[in-house]
Amino acid sequence: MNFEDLQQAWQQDAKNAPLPEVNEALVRSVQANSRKFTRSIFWRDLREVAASFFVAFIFGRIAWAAQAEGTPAWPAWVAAALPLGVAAFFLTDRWVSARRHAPQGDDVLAEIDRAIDAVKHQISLLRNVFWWYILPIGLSVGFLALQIVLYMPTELPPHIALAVKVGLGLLVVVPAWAFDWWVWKINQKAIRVNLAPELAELETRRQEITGEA
Amino acid sequence: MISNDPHEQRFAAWLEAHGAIPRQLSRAYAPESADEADLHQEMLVQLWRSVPRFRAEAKPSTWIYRICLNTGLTWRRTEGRRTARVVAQPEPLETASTEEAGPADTEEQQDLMAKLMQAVRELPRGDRSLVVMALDGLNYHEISEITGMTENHVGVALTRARKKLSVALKEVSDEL
Repeated sequence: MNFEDLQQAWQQDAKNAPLPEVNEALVRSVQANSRKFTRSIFWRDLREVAASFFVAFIFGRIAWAAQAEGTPAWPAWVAAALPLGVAAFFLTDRWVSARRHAPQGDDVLAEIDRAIDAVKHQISLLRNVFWWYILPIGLSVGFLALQIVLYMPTELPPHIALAVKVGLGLLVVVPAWAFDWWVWKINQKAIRVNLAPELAELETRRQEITGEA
Repeated sequence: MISNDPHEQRFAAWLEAHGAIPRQLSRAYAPESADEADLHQEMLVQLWRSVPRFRAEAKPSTWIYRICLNTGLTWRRTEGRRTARVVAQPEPLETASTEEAGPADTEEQQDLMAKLMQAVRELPRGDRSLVVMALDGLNYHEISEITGMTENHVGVALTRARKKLSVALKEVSDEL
């Protein structure tokens, strides 16, 4: 049996293949799936920035309340601004990446290269999560603790008041920093478990097509 | 009836003329027969999303190959696929004896097609793309336009892939 026999069998099969009827129902269902895909991306991004907005809102309320009472509130305002900076960075990166890495209908090698770039970018983002997420959020919580220690009004005697304020500050900072540590760990795990294998797979596809070792 | 929307019109025209491309590629690229419908759905969704980006300098068939191949090459099965399986999958023709065999004319052809499809699925995904295009009757120039490789490179890579196919076909024939 030669390759022409195989070609003939394949093409005959393709010709006789039962294809879905191209009608409105098919178009609507594909359209619905496409919208579902877009929605899932939107909600995923929203979920990821919602936490930053929530923290900024809570810290902003604390700053507002302190200011209303005539207490200096600059540490709380800084604490509220930092998570907003994180959200802005995240949304900008998503927007730029979506434009840069979206499939363009280019040839297969170009699209594989684009997919490889997208995964590499994602890996670099997670590898550097300390700088753009953990540090600003950690500092934000640190500034909130500073607001408590420096400016929280209390009627306790000064030496007891200081101990109580430091204790409260630690109560805010320690769980938040433990949470940051957990965030760092799961991001590094995501690189190992999901992204690194995905990158290896894409590079293998490229090598298979080009024959490059 | 398809509406007058140009997006829908173009998509429908593509499927009317080249619906066999996503179908054959989803069969070749699905890790198992059970995944074919999911992959086929994914290819149709990607084709739908690609309509506004279609550039007239590429032939529709080249464009469809590119979109579907890229989907097949990078597709990863996940539990609970995000695309709902709402497109009715075609019923197999009565002549098909097995799902793998597809709608070939005779029993001999069905048997050959089943072995061929299994052998194609045994190939690495990159080689699979070249072999599938060659089986579809595309020439080096067309394959080069779709993949982005030079025609010479296509020739070399295809020879290598065809050798792998004949080895896989022998193994499959022994197994069946």
